[in-house]
Amino acid sequence: MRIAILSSLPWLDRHSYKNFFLEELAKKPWFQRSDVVLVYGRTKLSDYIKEARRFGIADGLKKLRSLSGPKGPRPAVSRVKKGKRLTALAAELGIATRSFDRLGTPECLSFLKAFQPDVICNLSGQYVPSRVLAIPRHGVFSGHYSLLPELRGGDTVRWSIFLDRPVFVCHMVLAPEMDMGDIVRMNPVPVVRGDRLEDIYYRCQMTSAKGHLHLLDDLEAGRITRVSQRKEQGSLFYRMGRHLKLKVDEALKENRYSHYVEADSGIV
Amino acid sequence: MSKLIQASFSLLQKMYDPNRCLFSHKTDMDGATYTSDFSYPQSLRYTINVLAGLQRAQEHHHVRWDVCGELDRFLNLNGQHITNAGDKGLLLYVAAHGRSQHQFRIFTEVRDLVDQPARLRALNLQEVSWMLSGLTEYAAVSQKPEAVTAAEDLFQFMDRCLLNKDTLLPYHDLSLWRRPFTTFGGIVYFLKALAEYAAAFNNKYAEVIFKEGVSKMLEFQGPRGEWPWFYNVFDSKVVDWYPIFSVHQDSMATLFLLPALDLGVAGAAQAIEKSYRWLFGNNQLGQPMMVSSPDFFIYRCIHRRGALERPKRFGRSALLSVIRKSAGFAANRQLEVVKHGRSYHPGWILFAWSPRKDFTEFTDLRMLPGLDAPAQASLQLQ
Repeated sequence: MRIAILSSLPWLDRHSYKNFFLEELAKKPWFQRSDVVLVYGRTKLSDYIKEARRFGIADGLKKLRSLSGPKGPRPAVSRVKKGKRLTALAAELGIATRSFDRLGTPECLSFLKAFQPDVICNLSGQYVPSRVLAIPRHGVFSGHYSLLPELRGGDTVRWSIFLDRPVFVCHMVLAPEMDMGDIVRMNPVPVVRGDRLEDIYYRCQMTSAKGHLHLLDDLEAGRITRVSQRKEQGSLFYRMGRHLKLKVDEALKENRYSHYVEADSGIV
Repeated sequence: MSKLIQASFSLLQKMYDPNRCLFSHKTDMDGATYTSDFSYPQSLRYTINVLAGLQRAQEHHHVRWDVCGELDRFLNLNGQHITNAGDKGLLLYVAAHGRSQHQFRIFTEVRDLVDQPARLRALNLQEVSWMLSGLTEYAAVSQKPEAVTAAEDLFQFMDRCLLNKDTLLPYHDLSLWRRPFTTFGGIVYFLKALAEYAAAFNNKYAEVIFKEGVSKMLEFQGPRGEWPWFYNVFDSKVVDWYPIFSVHQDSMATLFLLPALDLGVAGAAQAIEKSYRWLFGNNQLGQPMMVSSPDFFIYRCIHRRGALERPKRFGRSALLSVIRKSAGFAANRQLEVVKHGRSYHPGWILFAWSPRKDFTEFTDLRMLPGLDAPAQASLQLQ
C-alpha cells in the first residue's frame, strides 16, 4: 500500500502523536519504506508568522512551548516526552520527505500524481485542495476532533466542552466541502476531572494517530466502511474568541462538564 | 387583538400618504393635528419597515390589509429610488415572506452584492444584517440552493469580518475610524439576523453566538431598563448612553429579546419588562414617552440638549476609550425629550408584538391610562 502523509511547518513539527504514528507505522508487517512519503505544505516563513498570529503573540508562544505535548504537574501528561523533529524521525525510519510551499502547487501535485498513493493521511490540519483529494484511490483520511456530523469546523474541542457534548475523534475521507466527507471511524476521547484543554487536545491527537493506524490496517484488510453525511445533520462552528474561550476554561476549571470518565476507570 | 397593536396601527394610519404609498420619515403631533414629512430616502426605508410590521399583523389576523398589493404599488411608485443595500435586504424579507412576484428580482440584486467582497466591506452593520434577514427568508421560502449559498456566504462574512469574537460585539463598519464604536440599533439587527439564520437553517453555531450575544447585551441594560446607544467594541464598554430611544425600549430590543426568551436565555423576560416600563415614566426624567392624550403617540427619545450632538458624542466616546472608562448618566438638566415620532416605530411594534400573547401588561397598555381603543372598523387602510 502506497501512503502519503501530509504535515506542515516542518521546523515546528515535533508533535508526539506524529512521532508515535510514524514509529508504529514502521512496525506494520505490510510496511514498505519506499511506499511511504512524508509531504510538507506550508513551509515558508510567512506560514510560521501566520500561525503565530492565528494564536496571538502570547498564545502563539505558549503553543510553541507546548508543541511536544502538554506540560505541567499533571502526571497524565508529564510523562509525555518531547518528540523528535518529524523529518529527522522519518529519515531514521528510511521514509522520504518532500517539502512544498503549498499542497496545491503544480510541483506538489505532479509529485503526488507520480507517487500514486493509495491513500493519504492528513496529519497537518491544513486545507487540502480538491485537486489533491482526487489523487489517492481511497481518498485523504483526516482526524476531526469532535463528534461528526454534529460539530463541524474549527475549535471543535472547545465547542464540545462549551456545548457539553462528548469529545470524539472522527476520521473522515476529506471532501471538497469542509468536514462533509464520509465518516470512516469514530472514537470517544475520555475527559477526566481536572483536565485542561491541552490535556484533552493531547488525547485527541493520540486518538487520531491510533485511528489512522487502524484505518490503514482496515484498508489493507479491505474492511473500510464509509458513512456519508448530510449537511442538515450538523452545523459548522468557527474559531472562538476570548469571551467564549474563558467560559470553556471556567467550565473545565470548575469541573462543569457532563461527560467525565473516572481517571481510574481504565479508559484513560 | 391587543390594545398596543390597535393603537399602533391607528397611529400608522396618521403617518401614511396613500397617494405616494409612503409612511412618514417624521411626524409631529400638535394637539390633535399630525404633520408628517415624507422626504426621501428615510421614508422609503421606514415604509419598508412598516410593510414588514403590517405583514406580521396581517398574518396574525390583527389587520386586514393587502400587503402584497401595497408592496406592488409602493415599488411601482418608488422602487427606482431604492438603492441602499440594507433597504433591498429588508425589502427582500417582505417580498419573500409575502411570496411577492418581485422576490426573485430583489434576490438577484442582493445576491450580486454578496458576490462582490469590496462592496460588501463598504456596507455597515445594519445594511449587512438586513441583507442576511432577506436572504435567509428568501432561502427558507424558496428552498433554492443558490439562495442558501448566498445566505451562508453572507453569514460567514459577518462572522469573520463584522463580529469581534473577543467581546461578542459587532463592528458598525470596517472603516478604521468607526470600527471601535457600534450602536444599539446595529446590534439589534445583527442579533435579529442571527436568530433568523439559526432558526431557518437549524444552525447551532449561529444560535450559540446569538444567545451569547444577547446575554452580553443584558449586561449593558441600565437600572431603569434603558438601552445605551453607543458602545466600544474592543473594550466592551458603554461610551454614551444617549440618545435613549423609545423604539429601542418597546420594540427593537424585543426583536432579539423575544427570540432569546423562546430559546431560554436567562434574564430575557425581566429585561423585556424593564425595557417597556421605561416608556411609562420609569426613566431618568420621570416622563411618560407613550401618551394617550389627545391621542396615542410615542415620543422619539431622551437626548442631551444642545447642538453638534454627533461630534460631541464621538469626542466623548474617544476620550472615554482612551482612559478605558464607561460612560455615566448625564445630569437631568442636560437632557430633554424629543417629541416627534417616526413611522418605523409603530411598524416595529407590529412586527415584534403581533405574534405574542405574553407580556399583557404591556400589550394591553395597562400602564397607559385613558386610552380609548380605536374601533375595529378603522383598522383597514384600504
